[in-house]
Amino acid sequence: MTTTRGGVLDAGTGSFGDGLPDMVANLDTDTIRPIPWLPGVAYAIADIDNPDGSRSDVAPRAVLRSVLDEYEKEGLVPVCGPELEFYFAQRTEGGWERILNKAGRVYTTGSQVDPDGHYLHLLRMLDQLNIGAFAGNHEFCPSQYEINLWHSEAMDAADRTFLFKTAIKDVTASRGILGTFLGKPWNDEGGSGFHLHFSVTDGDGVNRMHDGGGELSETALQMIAGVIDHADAIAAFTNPTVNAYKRLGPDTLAPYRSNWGYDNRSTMIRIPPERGQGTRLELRIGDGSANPYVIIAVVLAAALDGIRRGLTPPAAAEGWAYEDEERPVLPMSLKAALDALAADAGLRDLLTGDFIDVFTVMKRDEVERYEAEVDDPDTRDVTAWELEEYIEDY
Amino acid sequence: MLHDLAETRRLLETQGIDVVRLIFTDLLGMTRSKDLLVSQLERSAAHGPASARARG
Repeated sequence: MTTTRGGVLDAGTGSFGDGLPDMVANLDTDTIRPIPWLPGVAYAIADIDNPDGSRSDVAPRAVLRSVLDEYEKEGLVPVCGPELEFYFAQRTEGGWERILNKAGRVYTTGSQVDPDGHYLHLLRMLDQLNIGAFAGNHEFCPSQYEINLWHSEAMDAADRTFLFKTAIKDVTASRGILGTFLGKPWNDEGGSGFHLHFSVTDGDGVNRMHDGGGELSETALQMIAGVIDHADAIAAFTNPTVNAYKRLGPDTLAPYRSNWGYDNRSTMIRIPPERGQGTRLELRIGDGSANPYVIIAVVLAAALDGIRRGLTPPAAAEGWAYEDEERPVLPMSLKAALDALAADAGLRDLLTGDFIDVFTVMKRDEVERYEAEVDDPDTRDVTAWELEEYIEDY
Repeated sequence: MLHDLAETRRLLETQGIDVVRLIFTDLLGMTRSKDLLVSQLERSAAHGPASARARG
C-alpha cells in the first residue's frame, strides 16, 4: 500500500506477502459524467475487484456495498446528505497560507469573498458536472467555503461526494491554487467538517426515522445508540489523520463527547428539527480528510448494529453539551482512536477484517512518523509536519 | 458487458468524448485514476484494466 509520502508498506493480505497480486478496475457505466472544465474527457468511477471478479475486501466502494447489502436484508434503504467545508490556499515563500484573511464574512458571496472568481467558477463547474450541487457560500473562517449537495441513497451520495472532492482538487489546481478539505489546516482559524446527515427509508421510500407523532422512531433511537456505542472506534475513519483531532475539542462547534441532542450543534449527533420525510441524524465528528465511502460505510454499520442489537441511547444532552460530563470525551488523537478500533470486536464483525487491518497498518505508520519527526507530538497546535503530510492530498 | 461498452463508446463519441478518466479512491481517500482512450474502450474496459494492488 502507498502512503501519502509515496512510501510503500506491507499491509498483509493481498500485499507483499501474497506477491503483489493484481486488482482490477471495472468501469461503472452508470457513473460516466463529462468533465466541464476538460472538454473531451469524462469521469467514470471504477469498482475495484479481485482478478476472479469477487469484491476486494479493502476497496472502499466495495466495503460500502457490503454494508448496504446488510441493510437490504433488513428491508431498509440508507439515505445520506454530505456537508463539507473546504479552504482555498496557496503556497508562498513562507509556506501554505489562506488566499483571504478578512474575518467576519460568514454566509456571504460576491467579490469581497471571491475576488478572483475561483469559488463562482467552481460552483458552476460542479453544477455542470451534474453531482447534485445546489448552493454555496463563504463560510465562517476567511478563505473557507461550503458548496451544498442534495441528499440521495447512500452509494449515490458517496459517489457524488467522491466526485465533489476530486473535482474541487482538480479545478483549483488548474487555476493555480489549492482546495483543501484538511480538517484543521490553521492554528488561528477553525476547521473544516464533513458532517453526515443520514436516515433510512423502507423499500417504498418512506422515512423510518419518526413515529408519525413528531418524535423519533425506535429505529432512529437504535441507530443513535449504535453510533454512540462504536463512537471511539469509528473516529479512526471519520477523523483519519493526526491533524483531525486538533479540530475537535470544547467550544469549537466540533464534537468533544460521544453524545447526542435535539438541534444541538455542540453534540456529536445532532437531530435536525425537521420531521416527516426530513427526519434524520447529523453526525458532526468527521472532517474532510475522511474517505466518503468509508465514513458512510462505518457510520451505517455502527447504526445497523444498534438496530440489530436493539440498543437504547443515553439521554439526549441539553444545553452546551461540551460540559455534559455524563458522557465520555471522544478520542483526542489518531493513536487513541486506532486503539479503540483494535478493541472494538463488534465493529470488526460488521466490516471486513482485511479492511480494518490494512487501514490500521497505514495509520499506525502515519502516527509513528509523526511522533518520530515532531518535537512535541502531544501538541494541540497544527505542525508543519501535518501541512507537509496532508494539505495537498486532502 | 461488451455490448454495453460498445454502446457506451458510441454515446461518448457522439458527445465528443475521446478520453474516459477512470477514477477510484484508495483506502486513504486519495483519488487514483487511469485514462482510457474511448476508441479502445471495448478492449481496455471489458475485463477492467489491471493494476498491482500496492497502489490501492
